[in-house]
Amino acid sequence: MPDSSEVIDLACLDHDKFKNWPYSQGYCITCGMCASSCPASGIDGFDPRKLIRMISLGLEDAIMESRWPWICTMCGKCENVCPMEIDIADAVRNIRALREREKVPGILHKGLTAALETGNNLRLPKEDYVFILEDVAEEIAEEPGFEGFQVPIDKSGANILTTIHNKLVNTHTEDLKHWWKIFHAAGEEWTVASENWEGTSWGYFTGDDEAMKVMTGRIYEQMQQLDVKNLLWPE
Amino acid sequence: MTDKTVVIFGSGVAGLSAALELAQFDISIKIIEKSDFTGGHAIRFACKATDKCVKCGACLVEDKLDQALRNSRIKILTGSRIESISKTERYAIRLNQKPKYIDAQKCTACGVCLEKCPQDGAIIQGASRNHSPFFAINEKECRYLVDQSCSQCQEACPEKAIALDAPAGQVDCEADAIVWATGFSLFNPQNKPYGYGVFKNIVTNMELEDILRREGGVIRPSDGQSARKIAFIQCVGSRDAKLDHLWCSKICCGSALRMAELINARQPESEISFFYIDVQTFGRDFVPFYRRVQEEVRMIRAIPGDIFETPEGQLRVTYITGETYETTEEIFDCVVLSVGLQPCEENLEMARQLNLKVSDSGFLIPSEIAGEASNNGVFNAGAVGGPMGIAESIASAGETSLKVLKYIGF
Amino acid sequence: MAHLTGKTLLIGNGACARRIAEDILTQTSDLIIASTGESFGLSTRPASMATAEEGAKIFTRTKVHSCRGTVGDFKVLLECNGEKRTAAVEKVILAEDEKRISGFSSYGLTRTAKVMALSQLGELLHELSEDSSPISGIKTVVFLVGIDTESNSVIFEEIMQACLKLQAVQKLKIYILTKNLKVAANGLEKLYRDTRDAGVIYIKFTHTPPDIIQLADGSVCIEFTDEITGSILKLAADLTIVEEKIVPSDYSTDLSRIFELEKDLNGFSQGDNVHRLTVFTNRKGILVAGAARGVQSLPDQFVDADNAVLSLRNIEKQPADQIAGKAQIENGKCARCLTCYRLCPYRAIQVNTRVSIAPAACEGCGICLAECPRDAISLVDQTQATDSGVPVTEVIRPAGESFIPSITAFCCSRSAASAAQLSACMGKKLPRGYQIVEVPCGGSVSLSQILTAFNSNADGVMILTCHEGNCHSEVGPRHAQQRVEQIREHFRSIGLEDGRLVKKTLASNMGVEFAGTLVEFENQLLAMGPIRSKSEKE
Repeated sequence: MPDSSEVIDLACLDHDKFKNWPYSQGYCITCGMCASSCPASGIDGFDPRKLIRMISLGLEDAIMESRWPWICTMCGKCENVCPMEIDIADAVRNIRALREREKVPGILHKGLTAALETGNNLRLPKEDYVFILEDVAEEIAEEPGFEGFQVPIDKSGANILTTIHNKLVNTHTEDLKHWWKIFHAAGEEWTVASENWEGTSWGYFTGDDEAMKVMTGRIYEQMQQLDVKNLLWPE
Repeated sequence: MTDKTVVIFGSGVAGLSAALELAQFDISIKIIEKSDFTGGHAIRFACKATDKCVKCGACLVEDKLDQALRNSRIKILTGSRIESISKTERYAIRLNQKPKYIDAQKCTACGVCLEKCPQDGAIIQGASRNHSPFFAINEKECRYLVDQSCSQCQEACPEKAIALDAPAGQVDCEADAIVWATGFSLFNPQNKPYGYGVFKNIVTNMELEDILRREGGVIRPSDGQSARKIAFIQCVGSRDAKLDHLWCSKICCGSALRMAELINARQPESEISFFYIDVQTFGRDFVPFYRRVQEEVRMIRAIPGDIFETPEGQLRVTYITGETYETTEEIFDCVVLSVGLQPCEENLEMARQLNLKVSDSGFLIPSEIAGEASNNGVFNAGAVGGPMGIAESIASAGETSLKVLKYIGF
Repeated sequence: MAHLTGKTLLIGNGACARRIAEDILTQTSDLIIASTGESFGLSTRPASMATAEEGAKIFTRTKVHSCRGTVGDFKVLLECNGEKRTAAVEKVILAEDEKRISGFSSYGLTRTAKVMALSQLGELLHELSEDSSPISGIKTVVFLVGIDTESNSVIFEEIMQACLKLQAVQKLKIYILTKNLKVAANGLEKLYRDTRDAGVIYIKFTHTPPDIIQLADGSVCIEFTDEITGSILKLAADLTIVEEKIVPSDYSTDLSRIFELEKDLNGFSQGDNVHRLTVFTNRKGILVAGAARGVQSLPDQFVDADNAVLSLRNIEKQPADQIAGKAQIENGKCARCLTCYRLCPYRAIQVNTRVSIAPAACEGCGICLAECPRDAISLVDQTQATDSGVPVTEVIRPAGESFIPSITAFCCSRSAASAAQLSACMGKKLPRGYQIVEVPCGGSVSLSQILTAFNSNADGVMILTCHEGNCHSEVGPRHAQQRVEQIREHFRSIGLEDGRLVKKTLASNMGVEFAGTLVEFENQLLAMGPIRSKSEKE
């Protein structure tokens, strides 16, 4: 966040710094619809209109150091309402990409590094992961109507491969049951992978295209190895 | 009278003005109006004077309609649409005429038909004392016309002025020149996140004009109670690249702020908020007017995001405040969306038929600007050529009238 | 009275005046042009027009000194270098160019090499097409517009076009500082986008204006808070362009005085009255077009020019000898007090050996009628309620019934009378005992007419005029107000309720309000009771 007592000399700024970004950010008429629609507006003084303005002015340092771009949830409501068709969420992502990776906030980069090294954000070992899945599957099998339920792991030739959000094998394991039961009742041929199962792509979130390619590539490999044609990636 | 005839499509302020100018030259004028009522959009505008005129121009439309109806050289045909236009030496125009369900000679504007009609929107009311008959039947909603299931109005009319079986008609006419004065259509804001069409107390600026004209003040459509907290949201459907409406509609700042001043005078307990991007300059007295209105109206320089309805039918509006950069939710009784002016759907089709030029905004371009030396006798006037208010439409009609005179050799 | 044909006097300079002249000359050579410039500058045109131009008389370095007469018969005194000549013309068009006042003082700046007005930039841009050195060494340009006082789309368009021209010559850092972007004219929204593509930065202010300081070397330094981010920014401008205000030229102002024209609050030669649209003035036969009429872009000035030419032709179409509805003076009664002459809003009254009203210039408003102390004026062919003619219909009060107030409403035909009809269409509730007397203008209701109405048993009398600023005569509501106040004072002095006489304003489209006004008055009268008690009457 710019220090409010510091006076910035416009002569020091290059307003064309971000001119080549293809998000129509130059056409902003500061109508404020984005800011009015944004669910995160007001948090620490954040609103999406500010970010677009900072890009227009070329406030490079301020934008790289500001916390504001990291408050955005990239829900896209702003883009939906913007009358000038500015791709605000995409622009936010690009701003995030400007930061040195070590300075990416909090757990985001740590988790991403973990994912690149181990295949998931938590560094959860494969046996523990499989154990948790099978544990939940057993609980389902105890429920009436779901006798014999099993969680298909690495099932070759399945119809759908789904990724898993790391919280579902950490603090919210109960939430696995909802969609598993639906698959079962629908008679769907589905599977999860035993490795590289992470659905939460912090490469996408932190504007790290390279990391995103790696993680997406791994999931694609899984699809190929397991000969699965459809991917369900609820991110 | 000379032997020349000019046909004018559109009975709005531009069409009426052109008719009155050309009639001075002993030219026979036919004004063709597709709807049931003359006067276009502006005939429905309310007078916005408190005790001083604010120069909105609404009364001028009434004036011109008056004069046109009394002018023996001008004939106005309502409910008439183009079936075909062809040209040899002159233009030959065939018109399809809506059946005269209500007889203008017999109708006394008593309103019993409207009272008795069970279908919302099947009978519409005129706005001007010159709308004769004062009511009209909406063919899409009228139950008799849809499936013959009701004829209450016909039975109830004390003057026997209604004939639901009246036949459609056809009329042929010829013209030495044509004036295309078909005006604009209004942007429909139902796809904006404001709940228009769903929440009763969200209206457009045009609907507010209707309300003011009918009631003399702002009442909430939901329950007929006086509205106290009112919000105007500007630029809805204008200055919008997503909609391909890259223009300012020019009239909405003036219209909204003048209405705000009027409402404040009529209903002093009201609190009006004005959500805007940039305030445009309008009128010769803009500087003192704007200074004055800023004291009376809360000006907020941001366009709201979501609007939700409360259980009491009020509206919860979310917007960012300039000073604290926080989003705020505020409850209003009524929200007015200042919707933009856009080209009529029929423009493209008629442009093709009559070889008119269309700009990329969809409005019509006069042929001289488009680069042709002289056209074939079809001229634009008024807002069909781009958003404009009443004064500009009258001026445009004058410019066009001179062109027509030159074209027909006067 | 001779039929109106023939000579037009065009007074003006600039593109609008030229366009009018060229257009008139395609039809007739009967044109006198009086220009203050060194030359008028008609462009070359086909040979057929050249002959017409031979008949036309063009006077340069010429000013109007005075004008007498009315439409069809103006006698204008022109002056050129001390030499005077009279032009006998039927119509006059004013098409003077504008004047610009630069806004240096509103920003606390003085003109220097580094601080200039918008027009000066225009001149600079012309030079730039030859040679870009005038802006070498300039990196940052700032435009100041609409911060102190709101600007308009004409100035804004000029600024945006100037920015594009500058960027085409040399890539600069250009900033436009303003309150509201003015884009309410054709193509301006797109032009804004073009300037954004060219790298122009817009800084908008709402409440807190920027701090602008002029340094010793004449350049400008600005500090402000960016309203969107909250950052405090500072800007040093190598070149600062200050906005201009568009006002009527001094000569235009003179012409308004000479021709006795209404002006708007900015001094332009057309009253701020919708009835004057598009190019009319309060005087028949005198038209005003282009920059003399208001702040207008060039395309709009050309539209004015066309309207002026059209209106000229229209004036010719109207029969000069039509007298129905016009005022006329009965010479035997006229005392030459010149009250009518002083009051006529249309300057339609001539003073020669006799005082007479020019029918072509008269609008039949009836104000002169109401004020003439000798009742010497009447409207031709009008069964007008005058105090000498047929009075207001006597109201018969039915015996035995509870009090129904009888109201006489003098209604201006342009507004209240129409509103009454709309009210009826809308089915609005109206008082039971009212009658309408239609008058050509609210200002034409005389003191004796009002008193006659009361004498004819009206319990209450209303004068319903147009809104101030909407009256065709401009002054009607004010006359009505004065007369109402005069009579109310008399009423007070004789112990009669002054609330029995009211003046209200309406427009032709105010059906609801017409009914509301009448019903409200009826309620007030119900509280006051009948104007004379029954026993007194009997």
